[in-house]
Amino acid sequence: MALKTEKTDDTLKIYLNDRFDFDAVEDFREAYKGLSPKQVTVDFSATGYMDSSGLGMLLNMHRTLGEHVNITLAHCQPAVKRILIISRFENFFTVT
Amino acid sequence: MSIVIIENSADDLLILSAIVKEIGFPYTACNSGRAALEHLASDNQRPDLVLTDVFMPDMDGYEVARHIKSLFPGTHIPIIFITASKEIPTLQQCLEIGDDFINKPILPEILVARISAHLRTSTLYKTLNNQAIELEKFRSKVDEELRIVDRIFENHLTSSSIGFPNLRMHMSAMSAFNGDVLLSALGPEGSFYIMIGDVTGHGLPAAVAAIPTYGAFRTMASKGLPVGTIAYEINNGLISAMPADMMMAALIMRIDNTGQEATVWSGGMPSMIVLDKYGALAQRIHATHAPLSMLPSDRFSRDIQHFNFDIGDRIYLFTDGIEEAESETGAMFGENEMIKTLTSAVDPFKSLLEAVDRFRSGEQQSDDVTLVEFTCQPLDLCLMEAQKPAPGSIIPWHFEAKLTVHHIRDIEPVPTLSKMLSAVKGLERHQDIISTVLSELYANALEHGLLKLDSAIKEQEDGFFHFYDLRKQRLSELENGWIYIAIDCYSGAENTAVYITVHDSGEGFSIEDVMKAQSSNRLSGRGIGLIKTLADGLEYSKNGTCARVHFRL
Repeated sequence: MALKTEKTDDTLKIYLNDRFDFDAVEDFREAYKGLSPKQVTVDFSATGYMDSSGLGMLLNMHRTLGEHVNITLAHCQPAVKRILIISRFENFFTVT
Repeated sequence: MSIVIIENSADDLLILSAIVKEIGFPYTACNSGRAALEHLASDNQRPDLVLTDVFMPDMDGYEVARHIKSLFPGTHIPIIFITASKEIPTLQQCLEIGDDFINKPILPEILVARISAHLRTSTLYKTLNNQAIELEKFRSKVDEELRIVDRIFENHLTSSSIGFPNLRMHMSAMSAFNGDVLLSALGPEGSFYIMIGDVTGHGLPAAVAAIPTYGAFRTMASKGLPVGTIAYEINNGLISAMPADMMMAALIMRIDNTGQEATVWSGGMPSMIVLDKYGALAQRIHATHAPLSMLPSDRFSRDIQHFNFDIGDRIYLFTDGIEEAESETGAMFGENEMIKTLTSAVDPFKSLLEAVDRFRSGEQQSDDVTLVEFTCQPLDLCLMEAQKPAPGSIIPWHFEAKLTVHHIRDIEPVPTLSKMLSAVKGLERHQDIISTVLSELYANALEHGLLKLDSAIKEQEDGFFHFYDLRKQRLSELENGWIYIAIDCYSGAENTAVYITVHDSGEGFSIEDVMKAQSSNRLSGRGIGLIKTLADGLEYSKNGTCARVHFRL
């Protein structure tokens, strides 16, 4: 099922569903495919579960869109935040 | 049916007896009032009708009538007086003391008609009396059952509300049972969940309809689930149970342990009010969804709102019973009056309740009233400690599952296993860590052990998607292999230990290679890094085909 997104010329916001794992691979890619925003926000407010494949998907997006793009991982639940911090993702993304 | 005939003239007594005998009723003929009373006293059977002369020596008809009535109190015995008099006072007295009179000379047909009419009334009276007795018995039984139900509801509600110094709650039901719901629970890491709800209607049906939400809310809150997910699950439960025309307006809020960040799912509820510490209106929290039990799950939105508060802010949560409180004139209290009352009071919570009471001024409450005040402040750390289960209180257990190709290919075992683990008392708070680790171990066993996928693929151009496409393909083609999972839980003196072993039928891999290659911006190998950080220990054996993890909780 396609993920909800909000786009402007320069920005992209992607709203994730409750599980961010390998099942979401294609839908997640579709959300940013062919776009070149300067600022991306991934909204985790509905996400209760994320695993390492999710981490991989975020890194992959980072690589595809370009390492200069600012990516914010927003509204993370404690469980998700913990995984991001353990994996030192605040080095590549803004985690809120 | 039996009729008593009282007549001092022997001839008249014979005539009356003959008439009554003719219509087939058993009767007793008495030639004086005294004789009649003696008969009734000894017989003790209530007569169905009394026919009596008025003017008799010794005891007149009126006195006999009074005596008979006192012999059988609480019943209705039709009394027909027989009199030659046409004097109005006499006739009036007949109707006052008895039920009818008949003039001498007696026309047999008329007498028979009157007797029948009075017996009909008498039967009617008996029926009504019996019905009243039945109704009273039924009412007592229902009252008793309602008392029991009341106790059950009380038990449910007290066990689910927590006493906090910064939380004040008020609930008053319109009738014996409350159709409003107010629940609170502690989530993991000091988060606090509160749910306020309003079921269509009131009384017992509304209260009963809300019962499924209590347990569901508490369980999901203890797991720290997002408020949108809690709303979604409760919605599913209610849709299948509630009749189509019933729904539940609800607001679910989760506040973090600092008391300053909150997420809200609100459907069909009035807009909540937030005052700052000076008592001024700071924010409004509006409903953005339809009430629960209205939309099927595929159209249900889990979107939530985020709010930030300052320490000392006060959040007021309420159902529409306050706004819609009615005065004598039928006017409603209204939202504006509510805001005015809250912002101009030293103690807004107390003042609002008093204002609504005054407004209603003795009128019957027309809806359930619920009001909650939450003052934003950090959660007491002592409370968080109190959440830990006592060591040694968990029963040790061992679980194992050997998954064959069919299970691996066609079923997702990890969510099921996670659910089973989450049911273990004392492990709920750690459910997400254990679940994540189990998931990573399984993914490694499957992807590297059985499907023989090389993580290096992910590093190539577009490799990430290539990896997952290949994964899907190889999984559908998998014919041999197994994954064995064992979980052990022991409760020691200090803490609880959980061991997870995952063993696969693959050829293994070189752990050193994986660990060496791991650098922070590679797309592969993250899983193992995550496991090592979340768990307290990770060991590989059998050439990398067997991974064993332990946690000390």
